[in-house]
Amino acid sequence: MGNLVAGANAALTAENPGLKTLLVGLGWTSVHGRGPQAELVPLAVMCNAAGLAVSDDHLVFFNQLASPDGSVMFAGNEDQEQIDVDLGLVPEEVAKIAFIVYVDPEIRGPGTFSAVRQAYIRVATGDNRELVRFDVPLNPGGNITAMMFGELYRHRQDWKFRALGQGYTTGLRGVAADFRIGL
Amino acid sequence: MPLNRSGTRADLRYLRRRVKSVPSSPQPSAASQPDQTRPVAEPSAKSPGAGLSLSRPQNSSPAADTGTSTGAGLSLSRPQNSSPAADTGTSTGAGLSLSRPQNSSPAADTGRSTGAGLSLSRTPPGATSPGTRPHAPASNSGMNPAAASDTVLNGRADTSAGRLFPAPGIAEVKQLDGAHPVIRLNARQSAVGSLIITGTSALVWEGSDFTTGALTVDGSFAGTPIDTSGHRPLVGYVEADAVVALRHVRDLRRALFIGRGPQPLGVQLFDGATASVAAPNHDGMFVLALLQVGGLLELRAEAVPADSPDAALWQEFGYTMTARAARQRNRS
Repeated sequence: MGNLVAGANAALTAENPGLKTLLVGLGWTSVHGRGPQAELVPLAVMCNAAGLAVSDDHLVFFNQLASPDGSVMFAGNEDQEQIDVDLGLVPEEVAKIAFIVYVDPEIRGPGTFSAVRQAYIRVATGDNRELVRFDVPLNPGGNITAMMFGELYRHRQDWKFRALGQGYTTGLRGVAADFRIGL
Repeated sequence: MPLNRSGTRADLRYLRRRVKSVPSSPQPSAASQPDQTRPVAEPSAKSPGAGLSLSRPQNSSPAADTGTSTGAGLSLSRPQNSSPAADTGTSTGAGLSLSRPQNSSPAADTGRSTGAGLSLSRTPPGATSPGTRPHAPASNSGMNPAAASDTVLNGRADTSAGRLFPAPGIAEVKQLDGAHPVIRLNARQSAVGSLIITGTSALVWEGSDFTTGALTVDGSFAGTPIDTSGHRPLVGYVEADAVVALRHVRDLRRALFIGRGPQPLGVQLFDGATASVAAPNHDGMFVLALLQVGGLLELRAEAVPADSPDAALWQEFGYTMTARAARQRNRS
């Protein structure tokens, strides 16, 4: 299916019958200075049909490695982060899974995405055969502090992936407000 | 007793990290081939060795570090002399321990009882070795087994966190004192942004690699610093406030924040939640002990004599500065 552009979607299970597990990889490269640098943190949010987090436990990141049902798991770091999604285990109430990267809101110079020169999200099969990839468009001059890279979502009986590249200037607080996550 | 250095359990699929594989390999990833089961350490006997033991233990913790009882039962024991993981630096010699500690004492670094429990202890020698470490979340006493199971099944943290005793959150306890000595932050509170501790005069830390260091608010430094990949100290000061980089919370094993008043210690989280520690009085003062267990932070107020110098507190809480000459650093 190849590369996507922002807003495009790809049918995953419809075009890959029998696809049960996905590997979602997120990665980026940054320029480094000598001082404090932005630390990017990937997370996945499992949302209901209203687009809100099913619960606070359905936010999956480095310190909460798996969803309560075990369907979404942080599993490795070959990219910056790899996330396993077992589609068969995703509860019916979950309508989409959003993949977000935020700048850690450290008070000692948190930084922004301005130092990020390249970022991507890719979706692969469970055995790491890449299905789609989205190179996230970046604005080096912006003050983006969180960004939705993409999302998996249900479409009838199938799962699709949508490339997003939607930035937040309000960082993790904005993400938490949008998804009603209690931090 | 050797230190429990067992890693994250690999027999529970969602608790292990993927073994790196060649991305282009057509072979199934390691995710579909679970690693060899590597169980955590078996529950340890509370009073190992040839010592005297008369005990009524609770379910012993896999991570129990000392010969002391951590359950609600009565323990009369003579711990093994060679325990390198003993936590106290307060006494030496072949030990006799008669204790009924508090349920909520995993963060306690010494053999002192901070609650209403009975504690008469003489801890084993070697307690101040560099390998000293805080109590692991040893006690299951009072824990709802179903809750423990749920926690494990939910995969919110690693197995040690799944065995934590119940503790209130920061929303439930606004002031840490003798009556309410401990709070536990959830996985999100423990990992987002900065943990800010106000009102401290000094702090001391121990990293996950057991390196230790200490810093005062005026810049005096000892031990070994821990820098993060973000080029920030894992624990440090921003002006007069102590700050912990929570993005790297798992690099921090424990820390101690010392405040000598007059204002009480304050705790602030990214979400705006705050708590304070009871202010010093003529009977003594509280220090704030931080312990990271499975990615979750426990904050505990520990009563100490008001006239204890910092070095004595290091010793009492089992901190020994890792080998690096103490030096003075001008922060200005």
